Amino acid sequence: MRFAVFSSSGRRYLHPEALPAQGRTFLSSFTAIAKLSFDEPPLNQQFHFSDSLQRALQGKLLLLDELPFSIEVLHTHYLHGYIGLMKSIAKLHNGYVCQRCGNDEPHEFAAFSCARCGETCTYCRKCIMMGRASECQPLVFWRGHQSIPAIQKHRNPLRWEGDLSPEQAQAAHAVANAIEQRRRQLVWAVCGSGKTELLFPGLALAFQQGLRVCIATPRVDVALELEPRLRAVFPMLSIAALYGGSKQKSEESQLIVSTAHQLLRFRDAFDVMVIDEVDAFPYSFDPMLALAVERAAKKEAAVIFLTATPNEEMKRQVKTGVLPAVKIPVRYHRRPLPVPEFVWCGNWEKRLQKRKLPNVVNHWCLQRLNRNQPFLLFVPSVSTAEQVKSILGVPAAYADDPERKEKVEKFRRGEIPAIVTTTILERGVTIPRIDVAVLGAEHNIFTESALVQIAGRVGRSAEAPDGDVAFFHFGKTKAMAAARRHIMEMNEQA
Amino acid sequence: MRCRWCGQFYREALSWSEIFGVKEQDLLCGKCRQSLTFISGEICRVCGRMRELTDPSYFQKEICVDCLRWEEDENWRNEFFQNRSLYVYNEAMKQFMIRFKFRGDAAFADLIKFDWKRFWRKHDANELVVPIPLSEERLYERGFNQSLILAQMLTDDPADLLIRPHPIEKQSKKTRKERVNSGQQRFELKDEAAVKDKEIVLIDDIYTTGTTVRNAAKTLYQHGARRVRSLTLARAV
Repeated sequence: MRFAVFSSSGRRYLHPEALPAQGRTFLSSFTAIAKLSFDEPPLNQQFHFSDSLQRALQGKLLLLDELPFSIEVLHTHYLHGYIGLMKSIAKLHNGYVCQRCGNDEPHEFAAFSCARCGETCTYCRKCIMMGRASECQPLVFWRGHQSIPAIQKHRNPLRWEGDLSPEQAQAAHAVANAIEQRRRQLVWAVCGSGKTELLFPGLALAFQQGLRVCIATPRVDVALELEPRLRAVFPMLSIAALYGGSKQKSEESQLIVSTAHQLLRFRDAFDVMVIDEVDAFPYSFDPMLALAVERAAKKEAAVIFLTATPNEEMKRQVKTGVLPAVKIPVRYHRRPLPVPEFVWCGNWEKRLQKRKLPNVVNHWCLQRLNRNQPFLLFVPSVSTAEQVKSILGVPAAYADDPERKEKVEKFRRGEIPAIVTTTILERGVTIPRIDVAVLGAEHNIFTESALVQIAGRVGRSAEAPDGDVAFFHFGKTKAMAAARRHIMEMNEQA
Repeated sequence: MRCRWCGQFYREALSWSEIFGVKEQDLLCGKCRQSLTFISGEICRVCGRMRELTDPSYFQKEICVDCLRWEEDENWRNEFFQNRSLYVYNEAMKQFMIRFKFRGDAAFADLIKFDWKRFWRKHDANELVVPIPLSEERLYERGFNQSLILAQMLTDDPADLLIRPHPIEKQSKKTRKERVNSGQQRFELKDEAAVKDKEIVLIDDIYTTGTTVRNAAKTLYQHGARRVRSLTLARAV
């Protein structure tokens, strides 16, 4: 779709090529929206907007192509200020920026000779799987008020009989307070301190007020584990889990558990945004996901950050008082966190090439296989996982593995004794009574936060609050030392 | 270096031909590159299907049963036709095609440029290069014609001679029977004079049943083309 700009009361508005000019004089030729500058028409309160368009677009940010409405309808709503049009690709003096995913890496853009705009059209390859954001493809959003039938005030939404520990209760109070006041709040809680439960009172308050809530998590596995738990305690609520390939598309639900990627299609949608594992790998490494989460929340939303391992920037904000924080240094069963043991295992890569595990690692694994003690063995890469799997004869689970879900389920039920895995299982996964080991703990993928998380898989249940954590390494790293210090400090504060 | 397809970082293992600039550096990581399979060994002499990957009962001598059916059909038997394809249309190629065509990632073409041009040098016979067109509606929807992009890598001036009327349904959503029998596959010509006595090579992305290229060939033969064949990027197994 090409647009031209016309002037009305001193402001510049867009006109699509497909509609008759109606005697307008244009200040530009018809071209890609990315090449024009324009203003937003003011909202006309008297205008009777289309309910179905409102339902399709409110709280969203979509490509024009994704909307099944005629250009006449869309343009009328645009002129009356009910929908906003924006460039999906913006050109700055030093390159392009994708307005949907925030990508600004030159090698993640490409151009082609476009049959729509008749020009060389630059597009974003980073978010291409969600449809092509290109110079002649506008992004569309709803500017009128929102009204979603599924979002209601619930008098008594929470069905939960559990108890909170004094530490949890204190954090829960802070969260409820932040939701009430629509502010930011960090919950700094050790792995296995029961972060999900401490959200319940705050969420209940939000649903009493008819607020819309999103819990954003970095991993599909975590979303899958969280959704049924929330369904059980908030039975009357409309809840949806969104992740790549999820069948549910009930995007109008009051509570959405979503991977960060899926939030790229939302805009100004949530009153409360809970960001789980805010330090986790994809979030801290990928500004795209940070942008998605920020944009999906309303301007005046409450934002709750949950983490066991805040990054330096967050710690700084806490210190200077910009970000209120509440700390839970102890697990709900009040037993100390298992402290990792460092074991030198020599050049393990060389051993693997000879199809052998280092002796210490082999011993550690066999011991546990013999006495039916379940364990997770973390390795730095998929290829290492494959090698170790064939040597040890236990299944491997990693990101591209189509049977990953089933394998983790089987492991949980005790049908398989152990899993070799990459860092994908480092977070959020709760399996009682396990030990964990890391092979190649010196690898740079194992950051302080990753190692703390890995150690945090152990001793999570009250019935089995202890367990072993071993870091097998070929040379100690700062990250390993920092992880152990982190855990010991938390234990001291407890 | 970052793979231009999957985005993973990978270590560059430069080959001698890359160092001496004979070959441009590969934009794909080893894993993605290896997921593409060349058609090799014995093939059907008509459609270029790879014998090794096909059930033995599908071949009679050097021709596959699908092509036999074409040859036995009185509507098609009298016309010469031949197809050759570069890659096997396997699961990996299917994923490449989904992103290339249906999501519109035109940059895919850069990733197979080297192989595709080498394939062309082997098969180039100085014919008129004619890309299979899209209908106007489909062209607008996608923003580009993948066959034109493939043809432009082979010659500076592909002959955009054919017109494809608006289809009711996408080819890729039909069964073989529906495809072969559909009357919608008729092509029209922009310039009849440009075809007479010409030897023509059609360019398309995927050869599945051959209906598309054979229908295009039929239109060209009806207007006096001397010989028509096709080159496609991938051939369904």
